[in-house]
Amino acid sequence: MEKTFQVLNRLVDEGIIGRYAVGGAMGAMFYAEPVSTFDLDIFVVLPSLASGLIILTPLYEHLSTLGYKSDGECVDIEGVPVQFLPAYNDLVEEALSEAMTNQYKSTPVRVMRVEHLIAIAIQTGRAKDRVRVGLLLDEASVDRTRLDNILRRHSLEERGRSWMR
Amino acid sequence: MDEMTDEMSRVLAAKLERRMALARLPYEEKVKILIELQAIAAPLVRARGKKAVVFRSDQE
Repeated sequence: MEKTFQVLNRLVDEGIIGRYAVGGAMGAMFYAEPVSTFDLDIFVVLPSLASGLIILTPLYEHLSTLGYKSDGECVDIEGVPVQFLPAYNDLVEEALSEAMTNQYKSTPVRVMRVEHLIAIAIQTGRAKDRVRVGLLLDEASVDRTRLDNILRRHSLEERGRSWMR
Repeated sequence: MDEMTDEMSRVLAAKLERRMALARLPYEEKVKILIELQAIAAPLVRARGKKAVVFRSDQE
């Protein structure tokens, strides 16, 4: 896992990706108990083409030259299946820009704030996202003012109220 | 609505305390637990026709 994070940092240093943050179940694990998952969700800002189109192909090609092959939706980086998810809306872009730097052993890792993880789970809206919201609210130190503010700005107040009852 | 018994309340409080203790572990320790969970769950996931790769540990 440490080598995986080192590769991600190298991608940023080399300008292959703009910035990244760990999200999904592995992001939630920074704040809550471990829950089984089989991939590492990495949200990324990618350089856009002149057409404005954002594609993962250059990233996948670069990783391939480093010996990391794609397999379905993931790329195997040092034995960890990594799924790259380009920032797809304003909430995810905000989560990426406000992500925090944590440490994994001696390697810095960018991780989404817990309030953004909750807001993205509420927005995504699957059953497993609802479970994740419950875990984070029970176990993490959540800044409720910050969370309320995020939910309001991204029009998620109503679902947030019903999920956090 | 039926009331919770004192015994059941104690059990639920103990479960929450256990989860809080897990949540407070360093991330490296959580990853070790995750890899153990993956090793248990992977054969079941694969039996359902889905892909399940156990993460390589930092010791390998």
